[in-house]
Amino acid sequence: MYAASRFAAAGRMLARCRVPGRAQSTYRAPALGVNPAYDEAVKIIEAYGKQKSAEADAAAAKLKAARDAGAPDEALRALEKAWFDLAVESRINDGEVLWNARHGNYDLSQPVYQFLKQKAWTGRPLEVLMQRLLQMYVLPDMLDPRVVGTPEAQLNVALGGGPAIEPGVAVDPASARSEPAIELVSFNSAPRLHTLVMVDLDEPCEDTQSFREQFHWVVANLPFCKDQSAADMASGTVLLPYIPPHPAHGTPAHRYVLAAFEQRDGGAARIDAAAAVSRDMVVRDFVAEHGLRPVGLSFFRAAWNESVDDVYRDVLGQHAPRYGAPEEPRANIGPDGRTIGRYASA
Amino acid sequence: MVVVGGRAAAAAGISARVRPGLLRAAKAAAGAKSSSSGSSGGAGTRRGANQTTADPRYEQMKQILFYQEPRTLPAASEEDVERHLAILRAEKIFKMTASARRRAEREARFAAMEAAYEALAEADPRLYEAACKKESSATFPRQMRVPTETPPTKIWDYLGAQAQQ
Repeated sequence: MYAASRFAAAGRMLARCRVPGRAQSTYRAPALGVNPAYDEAVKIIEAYGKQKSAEADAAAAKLKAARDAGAPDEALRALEKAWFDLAVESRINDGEVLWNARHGNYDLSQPVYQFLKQKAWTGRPLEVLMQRLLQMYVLPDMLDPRVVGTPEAQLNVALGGGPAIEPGVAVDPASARSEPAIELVSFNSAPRLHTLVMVDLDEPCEDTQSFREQFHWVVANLPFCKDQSAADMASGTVLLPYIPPHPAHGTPAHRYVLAAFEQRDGGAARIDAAAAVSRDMVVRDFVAEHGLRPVGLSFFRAAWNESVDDVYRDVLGQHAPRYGAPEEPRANIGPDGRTIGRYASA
Repeated sequence: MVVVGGRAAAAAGISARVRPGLLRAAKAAAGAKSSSSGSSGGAGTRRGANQTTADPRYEQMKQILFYQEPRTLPAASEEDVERHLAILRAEKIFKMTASARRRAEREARFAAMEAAYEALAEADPRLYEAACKKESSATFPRQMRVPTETPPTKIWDYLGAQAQQ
């Protein structure tokens, strides 16, 4: 109890020392001449960075030579990886770089920021996403988890103009009345075409007395790369216009999944605007038909409230259904409509 | 300091062969008011309502645990924490490069030995066999020796041009 942990103490002391008001917007290097160990540390870090930078330049020259000589793809990939690792190592100890990464200020043209952003994604957000996807059975209900593997890109979904949602969170369906803002954080150097799909996994199906998948939104040919992460709907092909979530009264909370798939040929193939898309498709069939590869996933849950009836009336033009258990006929009412006494004989 | 000698024991009417702890207890029972710093080592004993010969260190421990403010880290600004983290990173780099250099030296030394053996094998097989033979019934290796000033500790620079970096 008196042995408070060193890190808790450091955190408290840091909290006490934080200057109230506007947060620092640009990096200010710590002053030299205060701590001699720090001054030496700066020299060591700079010397190491210079050495690794020189090695990275040599590796880049080797890569260029190999590319010009027409070396096989595997050799090129190995050389590119060697260059990337050296480029990252040369700047990873820089205080300014780490400060920028901590504050979300990534310059994705530099390998070190790509590496740090990737590390930030795989650190916790990816773990949370995978946990929610598996815990709520989005995988394997929608796709085979072995095919999905580990999503390589982070799909950020912002409903109703708010911040990006945490995967699996339960939301008010009214907040999803308009198209969500989509952002796919990928690390491709060149733009690749992706297909965005929004599916309701829990639409009730009376024929089977169970649930089925129902498509809400399909947009194809969306370009994403490390410089372009926000979805540009204007450059995409809308195959199915956005239909807001409408979880019916009496059904359990529905899972609405947003999935970004890379199109065929490493994102080079386009999908025709006339491609057949209906609300009654199944994701597995759609993916197989177009040769899509899942790269980003997210989902949210929504249950019925009064705003959903408005969606049925205004958007779908239907009466809002009311689901529930079938009405059992009362057993204690006789043919004349009067109640039969509990202890009356037949 | 309590000196339990034969005379004191005799005065207490107890044989001097009794263990010192018991002698101390006997002295306390006899009414000797020893100061709190008297007893050294051993457990405290409570003899009677008003006579306690408790170990003073228990009181010290209670004071430290329950009545003293725990020591805190010295106050450090965000800048100081940044400096601390930079120092840790520099130390890591230093250790990494030093250990990589030692490893390179080791590997170069071993490679030199291997090359020497191969050259000897080519030059004179008889001498090679003799060199490979392990000394039997040797308790200490001939190569083991106490460090001396001459010859110097660095006999040969195995890294050569690499060492310039």
